[in-house]
Amino acid sequence: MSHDHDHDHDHDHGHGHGHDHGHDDHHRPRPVSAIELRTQALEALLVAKGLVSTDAVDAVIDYYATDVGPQNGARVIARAWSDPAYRRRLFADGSRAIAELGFGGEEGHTMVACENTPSVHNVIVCTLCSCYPWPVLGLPPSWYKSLPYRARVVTEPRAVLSEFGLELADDVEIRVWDSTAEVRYLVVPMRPAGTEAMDEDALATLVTRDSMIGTGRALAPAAT
Amino acid sequence: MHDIGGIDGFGAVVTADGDAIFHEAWEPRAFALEMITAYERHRHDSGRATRELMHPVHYLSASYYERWLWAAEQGLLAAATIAPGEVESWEQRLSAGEDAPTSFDPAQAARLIAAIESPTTLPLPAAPEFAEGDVVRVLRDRAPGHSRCPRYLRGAVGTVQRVQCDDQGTVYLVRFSSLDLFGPGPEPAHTVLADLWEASLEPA
Repeated sequence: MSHDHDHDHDHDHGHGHGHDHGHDDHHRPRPVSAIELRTQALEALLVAKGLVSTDAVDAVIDYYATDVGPQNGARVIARAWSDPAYRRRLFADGSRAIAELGFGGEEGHTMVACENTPSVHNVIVCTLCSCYPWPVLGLPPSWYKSLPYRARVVTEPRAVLSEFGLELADDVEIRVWDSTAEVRYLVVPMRPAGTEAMDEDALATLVTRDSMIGTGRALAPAAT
Repeated sequence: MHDIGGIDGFGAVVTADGDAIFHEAWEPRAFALEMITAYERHRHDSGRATRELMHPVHYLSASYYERWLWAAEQGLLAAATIAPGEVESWEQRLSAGEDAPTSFDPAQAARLIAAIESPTTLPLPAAPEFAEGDVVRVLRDRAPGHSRCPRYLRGAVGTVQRVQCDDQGTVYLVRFSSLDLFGPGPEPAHTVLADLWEASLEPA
């Protein structure tokens, strides 16, 4: 069975149940899916028991929506591109160098930086679940957690990267990092050409989430 | 069923809605409930280890945060924080139109964020069996339970690239060639690196 509960999907629900549904704030009743009801029921149970507070749930969600995300990793990469001493520290002790910029904690206690060069391209996966460096990249996008990515990138990385529009020459060594334990990996993409005059803030805008997972490159600067 | 590296047939990685972190409003709440119940020690399991116990059919058919919700519930039941039937009872009450209770506890919210942000420095390995550069073989035997050793690496020979610690003890970053794991294929050979616990390795 795919569910341990069998629930009628078709009844009306959703009127004033005290949840903040954010952008999904309907005023007319709407059907609630089995999994949505299950989530609401577990939250209601834990709140009723006094174990979980509604604002703590909101605070955790807000934290991952606003305080962490690829903007943090972009600061790390821009610093590594600009400051050779920082770059050395980042590769010598990733956790400590990243903590210098104020980032760390859950799912990022032990960080290793992986250096892309003209001859080496790194890409990160977790084939067993979806381990991902939350403090620098936030929560993972769907494709990173998906069965196709987890199954395929270890066996056919070029085919997978090609789906992202990333084509690598045959003589580039691809290193696929399967983050199976508690160490988390951050790809340091190559600094794009034509960025010599850019400061860290400007450089950070070129660093995409995918470039730090390894499924993309850093952006080229806009032509001016 | 969690161990899916190297399995064929799942199709394309890049899809139209594949970039989002959450798709539906219940997903962040399920995520937060899993996090909070672990940090507040309302359950004592590793969510990751519990998710590995899901029935394969359920695992493959469940959405990502459905797995998290399921594991959180199992952990809460195992810790006797909740009793069998209590979630179902609230499903019935909410379905009947009862308002869900709400509460306000700024101290819990602040405590959680502080804990999430708090760095933990893992100790250095005490007496590692292997050193950087050692050639090791991944044990063929399937370690029972939460081994974190992917099936596609079993029996393979690789080279230790880094020695470190995690919460389970010494963990080795081991480097493999795709030729040793999967044989020659349509793509040029590539390198695979994985973190493996000492119990998964033997000298080669």
